[in-house]
Amino acid sequence: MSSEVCFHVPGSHVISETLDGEAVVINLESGVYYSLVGTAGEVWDALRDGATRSQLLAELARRYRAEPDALRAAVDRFLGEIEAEGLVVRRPAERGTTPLAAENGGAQTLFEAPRLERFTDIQDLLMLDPIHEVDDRGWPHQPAGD
Amino acid sequence: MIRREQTRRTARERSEAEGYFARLEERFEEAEAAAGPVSPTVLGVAGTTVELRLAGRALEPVLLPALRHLAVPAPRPDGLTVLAFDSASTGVDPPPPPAPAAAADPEVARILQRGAGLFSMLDRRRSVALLWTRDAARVPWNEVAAPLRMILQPWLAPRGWQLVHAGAVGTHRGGVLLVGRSGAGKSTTALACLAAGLGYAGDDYVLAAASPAPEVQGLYASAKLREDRLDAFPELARRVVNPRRGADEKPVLFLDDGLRAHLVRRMPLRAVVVPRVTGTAEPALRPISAAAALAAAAPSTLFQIPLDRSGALRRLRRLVEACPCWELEAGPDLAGIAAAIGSLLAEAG
Repeated sequence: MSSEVCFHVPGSHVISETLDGEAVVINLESGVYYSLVGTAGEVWDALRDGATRSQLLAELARRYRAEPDALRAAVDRFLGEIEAEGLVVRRPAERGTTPLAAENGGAQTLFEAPRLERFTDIQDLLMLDPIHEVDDRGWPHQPAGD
Repeated sequence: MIRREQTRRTARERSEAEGYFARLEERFEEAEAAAGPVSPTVLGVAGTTVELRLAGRALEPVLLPALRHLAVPAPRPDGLTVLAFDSASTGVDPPPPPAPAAAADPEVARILQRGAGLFSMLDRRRSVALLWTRDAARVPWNEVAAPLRMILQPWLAPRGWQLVHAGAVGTHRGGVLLVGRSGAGKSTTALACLAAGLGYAGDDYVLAAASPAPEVQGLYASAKLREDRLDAFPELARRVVNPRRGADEKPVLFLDDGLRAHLVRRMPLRAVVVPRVTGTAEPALRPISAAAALAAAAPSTLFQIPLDRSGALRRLRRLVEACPCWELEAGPDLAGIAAAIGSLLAEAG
């Protein structure tokens, strides 16, 4: 990855909450949901805050003890995974992106790779009984239209 | 119309959704006139009331078996009125759908459950809701076990309540919320606790709120058994009301008669438990992160009650953050499951 990039969450169908560094991400369109463990919750929050890939790598390198190449490879693998899942969309970074706030005061905790755990059991539920909320199919139908 | 005096908006000011609601309400009144009036049933729910007005008696066996234990003498001024009718018994159809893309009104929630054949609409401005179905006799048993979900959730959410796809057991001194995907063991755990004498607030949907203090409230006096667990709960199995159920329907029973004493209306929430009934293990509790509990609780709740899902996720987050979270790995030892939950509650005070 040579040019500077950042990632954004595409639309309101991907919702998430981060608790104590772990994120739960739900794709409301596909019914697939994810646990983001290891450092993935931190990465997710940083991306949502607008961090570029370079800023992300620099911040993780500052927070954690890791071989730079291994850290970069782990983060790029994770970014590739969440992009492939449609949880984020890659785009060129804008100039003047705010650096990440420093945390941990330079503590050298051992780096734990960001990991994406993927769950599909809800998809069966969606197939079984689709519920229409606000789209134009969500009205009672006359007998002829049933 | 219900509470017409509260509606000071002119026809021009009304949203398309409100206009549709008004036309639907007129159809309810036609249906009520056709089928004959039925005395309203008033239910106490989450500190307020829900007044159920049915057009005829066809929907009574759909809406009341799981809810009538909540009956209170009179409605509160801040309560909700729910109007319900079906077309088969009343001969009255709903009005034609409005023009496409006409429904965007944040104060009017609507849900069509296509599989169940139920249409729900809630006008928050007037605290009036309407439920319609083509034929009351064809409403699936899982809806009979947990009716009005799509109305109660959007109505109660602004009050901080979340209808959670979860079970809950305990006593008036404290209870646990049992969360997880379908088939993970929520029902088995809840019913094992019921069989062991613990109070029961539900095995599939319960109300929960994180503040001012974490609390869980029972809503439905029903239970759903797994086919392969009928033998394990003989006392419950003989109460099953749907012997001729469809292939994808679970055996349903209601906690009436002798079991009603086991129903607990409200409990301080002491813990969130994610059961994992494996069929092999001895019951064992281990602490898990709030995020792990949220991942177990949120997806099925959000997809089964798809209204304001960002808000629902936030409410569930506050809930799992408000109390300790555990995973319960359990096997076929039902008494052991109940004992594990009992000891957890005893330690939580």
